[in-house]
Amino acid sequence: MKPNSISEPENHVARAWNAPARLPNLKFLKRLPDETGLLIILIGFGIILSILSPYFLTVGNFVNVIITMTSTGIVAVGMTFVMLSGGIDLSVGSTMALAATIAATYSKSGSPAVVVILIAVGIGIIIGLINGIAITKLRVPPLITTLAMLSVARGLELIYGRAVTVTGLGSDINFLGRGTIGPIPVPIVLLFGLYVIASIVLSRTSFGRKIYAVGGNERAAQIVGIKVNQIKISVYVISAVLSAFGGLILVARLGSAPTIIGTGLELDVIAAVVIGGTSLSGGKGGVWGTLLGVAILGLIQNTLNLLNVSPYYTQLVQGLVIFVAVAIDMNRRRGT
Amino acid sequence: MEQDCLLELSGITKHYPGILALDHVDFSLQMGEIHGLVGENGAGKSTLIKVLNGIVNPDDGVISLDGAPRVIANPRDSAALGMAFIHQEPTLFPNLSVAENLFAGHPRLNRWGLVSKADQKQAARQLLARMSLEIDPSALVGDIRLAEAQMVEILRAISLDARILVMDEPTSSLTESEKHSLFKLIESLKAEGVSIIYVSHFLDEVLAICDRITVLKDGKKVSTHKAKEITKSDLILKMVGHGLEIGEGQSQTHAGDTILSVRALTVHDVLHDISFDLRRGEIVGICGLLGAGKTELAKALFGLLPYDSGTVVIDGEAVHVRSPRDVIRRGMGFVTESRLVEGIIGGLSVRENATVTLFDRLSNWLGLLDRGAQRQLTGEMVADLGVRAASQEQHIMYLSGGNQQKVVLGKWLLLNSTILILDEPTRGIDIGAKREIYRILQRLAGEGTSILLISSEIDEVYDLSDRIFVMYDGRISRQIARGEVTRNELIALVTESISLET
Repeated sequence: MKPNSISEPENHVARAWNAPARLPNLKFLKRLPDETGLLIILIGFGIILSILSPYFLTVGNFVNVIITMTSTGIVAVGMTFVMLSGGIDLSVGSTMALAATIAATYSKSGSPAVVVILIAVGIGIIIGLINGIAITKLRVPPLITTLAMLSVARGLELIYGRAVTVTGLGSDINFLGRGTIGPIPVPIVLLFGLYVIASIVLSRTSFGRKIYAVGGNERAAQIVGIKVNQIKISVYVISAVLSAFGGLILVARLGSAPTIIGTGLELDVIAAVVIGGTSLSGGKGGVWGTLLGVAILGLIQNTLNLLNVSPYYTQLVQGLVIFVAVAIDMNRRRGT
Repeated sequence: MEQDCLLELSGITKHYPGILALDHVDFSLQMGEIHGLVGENGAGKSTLIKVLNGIVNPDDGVISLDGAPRVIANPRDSAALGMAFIHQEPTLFPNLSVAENLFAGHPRLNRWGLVSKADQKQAARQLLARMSLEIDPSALVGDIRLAEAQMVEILRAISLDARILVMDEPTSSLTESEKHSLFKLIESLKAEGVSIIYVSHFLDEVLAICDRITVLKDGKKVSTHKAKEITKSDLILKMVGHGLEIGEGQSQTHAGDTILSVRALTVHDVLHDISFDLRRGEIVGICGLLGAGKTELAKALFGLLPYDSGTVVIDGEAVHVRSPRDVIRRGMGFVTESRLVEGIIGGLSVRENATVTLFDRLSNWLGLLDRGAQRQLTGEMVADLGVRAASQEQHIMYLSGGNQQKVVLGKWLLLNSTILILDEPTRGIDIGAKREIYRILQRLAGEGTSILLISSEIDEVYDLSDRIFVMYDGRISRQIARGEVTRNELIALVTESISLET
């Protein structure tokens, strides 16, 4: 995205970027102490970068960072749901790839955007249901179930697409990745819209609070009559659907569906959720923390890009940040 | 102090933010003495023990051992001074044998430098015999009973030359007969000159086995007494600061028509042919040994343990109970044995824990929860049951055990449950909170709620119940009406089944 393509509404976009820090609902402000550490890391990055690179503090760069992180950010919402319930989903990257490849193929052959979206979402629902049912009814641990699905879905994608990149998508679907609503790029609207909705669902709805209850104490949740299996299946479906949807947006932005799409995505996404303070054992955390985690990962990449550091360092720095974030969190928890 | 003062604490003080956990506490322990430490939850017992263990470092005060001042900065210092700590749950290796556990830290080696199993087994046998314990040294600790494991842990401490044993609620998971063996062991240790600090909620035990008793209240030492010179009610008075008579029976039976009817309920190898009726407004106590099937009965009734045959009729309607939802819908509630594992939902607030049963009822068509209604209902419940919390938004983990339990009970009351199954509802909570819970139960029964009260505390069952079932080996072996037996006869009934068992 070139900076001049959105020259007029600078303030708007800049504010959207800062959104998690100051504008959303009171709930977030109340929880600020939990996430203050992350904000400080973010601001620290910002200060260093604006000194080192004059390009950093431009709207264009911010928009760029957000758009690059859109798919990761969307998938991370689903992962947050899963991890809050006490599970984990390793199959997100492969689910994304399978949905993206099939949806792109339909789009190429002229199916309207609505159909393409429904196909992607449908694939997500099926994969999520399989994961959820295997975990709840067959009692296969989430780690194993979704590890298997990681492999199966990737295999299906390669078989279906014959390991060839799908190009020449319908122009209507490209709107999801490259269009704008008013002055704001569509992916950004979708990303923030999704976080606001997810935040409301998690903090204000019966379903959301049951996810916390199941993650916080599954036995107790069962005893008070919560349909634990139903909640668990739901979160895997949400995760898979959002993975598929994230894939669609990525494909729409790239204009093609490369076969390697989503490879290793699960690690970035889990990293973002964990950095964001969601407990690996479930029951604690939320999407705003995840958004900060996604932002930190995005900034790490952006920093290294702007400073012309080899991308090989990205993984190294990312690993250190994950470790430090979790170490701080664990020690703080032990202190209380 | 007069004679052989082994350990002496003076002026021990520990501040936490907003709380003075220990306020100039003095404490002394003589050679070969069993010294009881009692007080309500939050009185400072645990903090004092942690000071001795080196887990908590006091802000002020002096600890002397053998007359010389010592610094206990960490658990290692504490062990080096000959102190050992026995907790409610043994910290042993379940996958290793009794002998291996006894010598885990200092294995007996043969001349090749390898662990000599025969040698260890022999030494273990001697140690067990010295304390006249009949435990097989080659049995896996995971296979022996909890009480035996606890004794193995005590022996391990002794084999490490511990001179001071600190026991924190050692009997709370033990049956009557197991308690007796533990007390015998304590006597043998005393005879060998080991000094013991004995922390317990069970005042009868403390009075029976201790030489002296120190009472703590709100972080301060109230007084120290010779056990022979103080009565239980005086002790309670010192602990709570106001009078409490424990054994106050319920006014009268107001039992109405049958609300729950169970016939020939059977779970293979666990429950056999259980039949009984529970009437409206009735409290039925269920006592029996560990393993008698009390908790299993509760779980089967609540859909957590599938039953093989039998019928359950709730309010005239036959119910095939397959999940908790089947009975919750018909007005049943279950307060589980283990508050932390199955009761409270950590990470959620008091408000959410209280209304977790009502999430569906309190949400609109979009699924949005009505927080106002949540707050109002929680507020009513908190006021009704006297829950002490800083606010409804406080994390439930930060409440005391008694207050957590009130919230767990409260969530069923908010659902208007008419049949409550309570499994060890007062385990691990202090005497003041226990009293309050007893009063709540009596009031509920008076209002027409039917209660199945499962408890290993005979006093509790005896004082509250309209009828008492004694369970043994998965059966209801006796049904007793109020007043049919005396308290001691009831204890004897339970102990009798003990002698049957062993």
